[in-house]
Amino acid sequence: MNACNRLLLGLALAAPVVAQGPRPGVTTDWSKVEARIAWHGTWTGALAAAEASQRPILLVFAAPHCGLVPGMW
Amino acid sequence: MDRSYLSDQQVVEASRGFVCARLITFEDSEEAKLMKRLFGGRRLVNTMFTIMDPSGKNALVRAGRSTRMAFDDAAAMAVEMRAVLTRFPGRKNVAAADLGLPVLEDVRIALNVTECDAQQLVILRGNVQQVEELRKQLTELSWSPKLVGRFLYSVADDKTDWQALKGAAKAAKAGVLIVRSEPYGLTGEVVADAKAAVTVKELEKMLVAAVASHKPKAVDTRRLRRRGIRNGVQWQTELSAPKGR
Repeated sequence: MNACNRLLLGLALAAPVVAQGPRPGVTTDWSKVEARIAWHGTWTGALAAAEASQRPILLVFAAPHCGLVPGMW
Repeated sequence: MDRSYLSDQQVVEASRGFVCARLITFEDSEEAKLMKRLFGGRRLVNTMFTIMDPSGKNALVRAGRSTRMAFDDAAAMAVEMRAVLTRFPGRKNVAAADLGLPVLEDVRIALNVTECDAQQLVILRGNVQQVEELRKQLTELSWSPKLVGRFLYSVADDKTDWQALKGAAKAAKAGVLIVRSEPYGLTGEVVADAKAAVTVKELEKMLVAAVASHKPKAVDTRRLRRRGIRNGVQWQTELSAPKGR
């Protein structure tokens, strides 16, 4: 195999990897996350805070498990 | 949950004008009813997102499965949040006491969420009076610019499994415990504690030191999940969760 063919073969093998790129959401580098949202963990608490402050509510439901394996969103 | 949107710094900045509620699916029957009402479905889904007015009755953004379904990107979400704040700017001079301590009551769930967020958990421990006093002190600190969004908070009760927390036996029986979760968030370790008689200044010093010394690492959740399945690590939800969720 000459150098040109080797180069073409290398590019062909690398293409899917390059096209795929990093998979979002798979790896989170928490050291790069500066400020965080301060979350109320109960609807009762959030509603009381909204009533007292008259602030709108950003509401998220989430399950702290993936395929029932805990410790990950 | 869509971390790329909710950890975006423009979104975080806009969130300071909101009351932010992150409720845990499959764990509370009343909150499950709320999800069904908002989402108009009969069954629970893993994730849901919406923005509501201060009454908590009217959705300002149609409830959807995720932020990604509602907005093209995090910048668009921040723009919409700022627009909502012009319509609902909130009361002027909101005190920390108005916002309350942002707790997730159940320590077991809070520990799991702590691991998901790669944060640290503050547990209040003691009798009703002691916890109430600590709650007041921590409320002020939790909304201070230095510490807002830096910790999760939970209150211990009779159901708290202290065996899951290394160092809990030697820690203050009434007071504040700072806990770092271990992989999968089923166990953790007490890294600092203070007795119930602690002053606000001492508490602040302890919390600031915990933030400074906490160096969360990058997490490959796909690999972690595979290993968890192999080792039979499983979360028990309070309500029935669809298989594979």
